[in-house]
Amino acid sequence: MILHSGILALLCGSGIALLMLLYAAGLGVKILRHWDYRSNSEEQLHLERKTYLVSTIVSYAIGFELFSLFLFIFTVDDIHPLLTGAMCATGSLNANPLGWYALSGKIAIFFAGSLWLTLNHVDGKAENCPLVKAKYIFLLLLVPLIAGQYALQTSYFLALDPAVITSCCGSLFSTANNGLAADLAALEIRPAMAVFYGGGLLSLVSAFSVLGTRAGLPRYLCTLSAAVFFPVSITAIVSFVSIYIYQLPTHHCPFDLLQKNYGFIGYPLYLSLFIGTLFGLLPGLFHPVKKIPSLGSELQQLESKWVYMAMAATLSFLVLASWSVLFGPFKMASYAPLK
Amino acid sequence: MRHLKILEFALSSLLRRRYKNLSLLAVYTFTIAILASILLLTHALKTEASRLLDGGPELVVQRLSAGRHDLISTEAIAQIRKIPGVTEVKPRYWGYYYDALVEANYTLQGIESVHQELTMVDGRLPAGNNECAIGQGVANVRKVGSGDDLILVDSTNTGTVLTVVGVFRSESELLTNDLVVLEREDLIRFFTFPPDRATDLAVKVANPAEINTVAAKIKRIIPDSRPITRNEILQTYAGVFNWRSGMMLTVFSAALIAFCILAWDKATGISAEEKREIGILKALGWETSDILELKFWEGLVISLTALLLGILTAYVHVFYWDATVLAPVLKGWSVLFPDFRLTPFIDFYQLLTIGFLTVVPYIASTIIPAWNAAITDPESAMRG
Amino acid sequence: MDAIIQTDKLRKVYNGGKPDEFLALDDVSLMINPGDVAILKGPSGAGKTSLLSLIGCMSRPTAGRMIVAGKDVAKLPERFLTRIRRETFGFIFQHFNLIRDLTVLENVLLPLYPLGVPFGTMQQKGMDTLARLGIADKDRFKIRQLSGGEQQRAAIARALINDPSIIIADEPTAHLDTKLSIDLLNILEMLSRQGKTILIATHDPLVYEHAMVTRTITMKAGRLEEVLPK
Repeated sequence: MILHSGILALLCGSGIALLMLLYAAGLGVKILRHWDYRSNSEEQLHLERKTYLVSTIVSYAIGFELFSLFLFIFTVDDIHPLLTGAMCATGSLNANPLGWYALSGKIAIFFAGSLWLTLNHVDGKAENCPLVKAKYIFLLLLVPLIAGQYALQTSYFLALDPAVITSCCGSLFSTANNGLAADLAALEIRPAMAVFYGGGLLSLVSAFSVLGTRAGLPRYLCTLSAAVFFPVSITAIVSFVSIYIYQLPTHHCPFDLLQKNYGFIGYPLYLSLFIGTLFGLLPGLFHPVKKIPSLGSELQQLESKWVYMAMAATLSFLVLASWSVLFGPFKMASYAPLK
Repeated sequence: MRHLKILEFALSSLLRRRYKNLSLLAVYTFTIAILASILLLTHALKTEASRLLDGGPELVVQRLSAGRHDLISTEAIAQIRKIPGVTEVKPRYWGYYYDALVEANYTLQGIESVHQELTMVDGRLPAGNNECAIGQGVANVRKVGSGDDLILVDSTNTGTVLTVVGVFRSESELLTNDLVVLEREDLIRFFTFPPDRATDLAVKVANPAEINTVAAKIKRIIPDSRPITRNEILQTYAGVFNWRSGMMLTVFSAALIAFCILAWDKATGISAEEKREIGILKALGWETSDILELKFWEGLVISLTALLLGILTAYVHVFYWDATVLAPVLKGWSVLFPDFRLTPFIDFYQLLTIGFLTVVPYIASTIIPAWNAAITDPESAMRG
Repeated sequence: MDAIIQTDKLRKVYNGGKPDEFLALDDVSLMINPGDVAILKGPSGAGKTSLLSLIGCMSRPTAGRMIVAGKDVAKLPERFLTRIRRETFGFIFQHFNLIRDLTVLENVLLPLYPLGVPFGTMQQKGMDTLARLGIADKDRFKIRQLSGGEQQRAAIARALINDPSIIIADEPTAHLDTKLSIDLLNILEMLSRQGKTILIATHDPLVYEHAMVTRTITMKAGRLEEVLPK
């Protein structure tokens, strides 16, 4: 195992977040068992106060997890010189089979955690706290996810061996290679662009359509298109956005975008994608909740905010992704990757 | 607006209990300063090491005899030169010299083996026999300067007198601090090298991607050789520094835990006055979530202040006071303890790491006490 | 006229289920009309403060109903209770409960902090309220620099900053001399004439024999003994 300060920080911070969550989950179980909003007993008052504690703990823990996503990416990038063959974060993640799973786990937690925070926020809007049970059941499902991700992350770092040669983005994303990454990189550019912009347009239109009606269908469509657009965008970044930014037809790495020499463009790009996806998911997921009488109108207001955020973020993402394609000095007219 | 007003109240609240908060801040800052010193020093040493190697050859070929480094035959030069991709092979003549007088090790180097542009403080490089140029560390420890004589004793116990014609001051003092550069013949004579031997060979390879291939080929042609790539050296340095800093951090964790216990204690030991204030606020219409936000701002202000002060302290400690407290552990093996200056460097990643190792545990320690304070019954204000 | 405060069989138990369980209020049903100046009388431990806490939405009853300004508040979670308390009530505490190291203006504006009121509006409101009570010139003074009378006025200003419809005062004259007590009663009378409903718990005859009092509620051992006028 590599004794690196970033790795220690990650394990320490994530470990603390997990412990906090386990404690919160314990409280959550208690709340689930005894919650009776109609009761005026001291116990109910205690439970109400405990809900503040749980919300605070979970908010902080999920906040840490979000920061730790950055720290994780920074760290795998920082350790790449220690691993033979690695030239960027991709190489570090390739060093053992757990790397990519650890990263995917962190991304999953970003979305799941943000959903919990939203649910918590919505629940607080109603006088009778109608979503308490749903919230704490969700929490009990979230905790194993975070525990699992922590185990993955720890195992990944423990298994890192500087002597083992790893392949870097050059070969991982090379069109001549086998595997998912290579297939992504080898996609023909024009069809990839068509799918990407088509998906983007669908996301924007379905989000906009939510504003004009109260029906459920546009909301479900909005959620679905956001969910689908996320992997499509990642694919697009690997397939063609990256090569326009790097101005090199064979450089497909999704992490080098975060480096200084590319103006840190990766940060606003990924940030807008994540935020756009998150807010795009919300309308459909929360539509059933509107049936609850105490929440109906509040949720309507919140929903409009979500939709605006989703549209703004998705639009920013599309602009950032297209900037180099449209205005960059690099042109890819009819380049066909070798198979 | 609301957040700003609560923040304003948080600041005034911290000031109203300034002694308690100052003592907490002091310990917090100190904890962060130690941690930051470890990280900054490690990083600076790693950067120095890689700069040190930057101007050097991509590949160095040594010869092994009975598993130990031995002199290499200059016939190997022609063999290696034939390998495609190799642009230059130069023999290097250098060795270590232990000066019993001051109990220090110097590196003696033949003048053609010097691979970097070196800025002179005064004087020039040796141009003839019995002349030498020395590094600042040697000059200081032997108290010699340009024009003085430096006497070195060889393996036959005979003294060799060298006239110092120049003193180095390189961009990277780590490289030249313990260096003594002399004419090749002087060095060969001093160390009694056989005529067809060199210490090692410096190989330049045109394409960096081919270094490993060339190294493999050299190993095949000359089985008793040991080709060392620049990358391997960098990795070793980085590995050692990481290991050392990791060790220190693990030890530091004990201090961190103690700090967290202190933080918890301070947070739990909320004074009667503070409890009364929170009761009043609740009675006046502040919600539990407002009080929690108040506590959050208090914690954040203290954390960020401690972070800033701690990192500043660490920066001054490492880059202006030469990391007096920590250096012996981290530098360890170094032959001559040079009084060199590390190049100041700090980046966002280090800040994030330091933040994670300190602010996260602090906040975790104070959540429950903060909540306990926040659920103070507003009725308590009625009862006085 | 609809009562502004209406309680029905209110019951309050502290530390329920524990060895130190204590029945503070039992079967309290009363009505207070808008504009009333109601006095709560009774010996120590009669439950006056507990009743004021409940009415003032500072705690929840163990049983019974309570309607304040048309809203059923008995079962509201703390968050919503706080909002109602903030909007409807102004409190004058026995010990003033001012924060000594803050200025007068800062103390008076405290109830407004979590509301997100724009800064300029807040300042204006604060100064206006201080002016109404004649201490606008003391706005930057720290509380510990004020005389007893000035502190009293600052406490009242704080109670009025949100323009509440109901003022609750718990033993407001307990630590005041006669002159300050009379000052206080004059201010309360002025507020009553402005249409505010006032609820005062007191032992002080100076208060409960004052002309402005419209209703007297006598309590004993957690129960209502007498309500006048009927």
